[in-house]
Amino acid sequence: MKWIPLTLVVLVLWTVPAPDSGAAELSDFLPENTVWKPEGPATRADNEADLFAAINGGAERYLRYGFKRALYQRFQDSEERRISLEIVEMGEQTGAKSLFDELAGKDGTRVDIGDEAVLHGYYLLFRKGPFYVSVTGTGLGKEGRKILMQAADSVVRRMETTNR
Amino acid sequence: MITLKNPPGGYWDPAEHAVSEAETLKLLIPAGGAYSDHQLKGTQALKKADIIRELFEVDVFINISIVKHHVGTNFSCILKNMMGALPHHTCRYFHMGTGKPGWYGDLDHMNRCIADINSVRPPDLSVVDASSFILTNGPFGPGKLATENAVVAGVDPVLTDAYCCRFLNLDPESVGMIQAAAEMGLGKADPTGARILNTGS
Repeated sequence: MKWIPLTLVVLVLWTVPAPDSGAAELSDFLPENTVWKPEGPATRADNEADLFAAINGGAERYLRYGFKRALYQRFQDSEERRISLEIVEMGEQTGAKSLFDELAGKDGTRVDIGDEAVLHGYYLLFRKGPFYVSVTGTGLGKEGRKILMQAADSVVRRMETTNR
Repeated sequence: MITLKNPPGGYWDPAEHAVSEAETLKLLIPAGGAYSDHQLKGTQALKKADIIRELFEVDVFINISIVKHHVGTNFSCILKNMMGALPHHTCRYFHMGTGKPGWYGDLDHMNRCIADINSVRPPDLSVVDASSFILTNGPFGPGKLATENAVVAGVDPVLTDAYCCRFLNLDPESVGMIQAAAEMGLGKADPTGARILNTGS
């Protein structure tokens, strides 16, 4: 009967719920500051059909790993530099990791943001808990790296401070 | 001018002429979002489809697409862009219509569906934005960016796609949707010998 305790342990692990944001809205994680202004309303995707419509192709990649919901918001500063923010909540933390692993690539620079992050020339990807986030810059110039890092860091801080 | 499907937010913004052509851009009217049901004849895999209504109401149809990497088909351009004229459930049939598991479990079926939908209302002109595009993580990205500063226009959508394969270092023979469309007689899959006008400076 040695198998019984092992079975119980496995069952308990299996049923531990994934970390849930508990956040009312993903928009709670959007950074707020005086420099970067939102460009129009955020686009939400709360189901498969929404996701297909929102990202115009490639939704399958997200669904494969347990897509739950997503939010897309663009920001612009006074110099017409732009940042696009994509926040995706997966059903499980492992889903966010799988998605990140697939998209991170091998030639980026690893940076210390969230659970794991990678910085490429014009974009930064990170994951934290069940969330996968991409920050993409347009026309950021020499300050691109710094701006992407700051934007990502502010999202992480919002995630950490939002009531759960 | 009606846009059957608007690109995700901000596509036009980085364009050099976005400011000077702002008035022209205002003339773009998004389609209403209604779809009509069509029974298709002479197709390979797709026998019926819901298609955005305005596609059948316009005098001239111009298919404008960005060439880019695609996670499932490796290549996305004019032919693939037609899926933007379809509702979610019809697109889903492209992916899973034969019941094989996975979003790309039956790529042959998907490629034939893409060819089929392109037979319904072939574009009068195909225009490809190859100014800058992603080589990885497509179609949504972000991913490794290539910059060619090129725009390709053609009256043969299959040939236009075949020509644009070079931007992703692909052989048109390896792109299933191009081959499927050519087999249906929708255009030429081999750019060799095609009349190409290079207006580049």
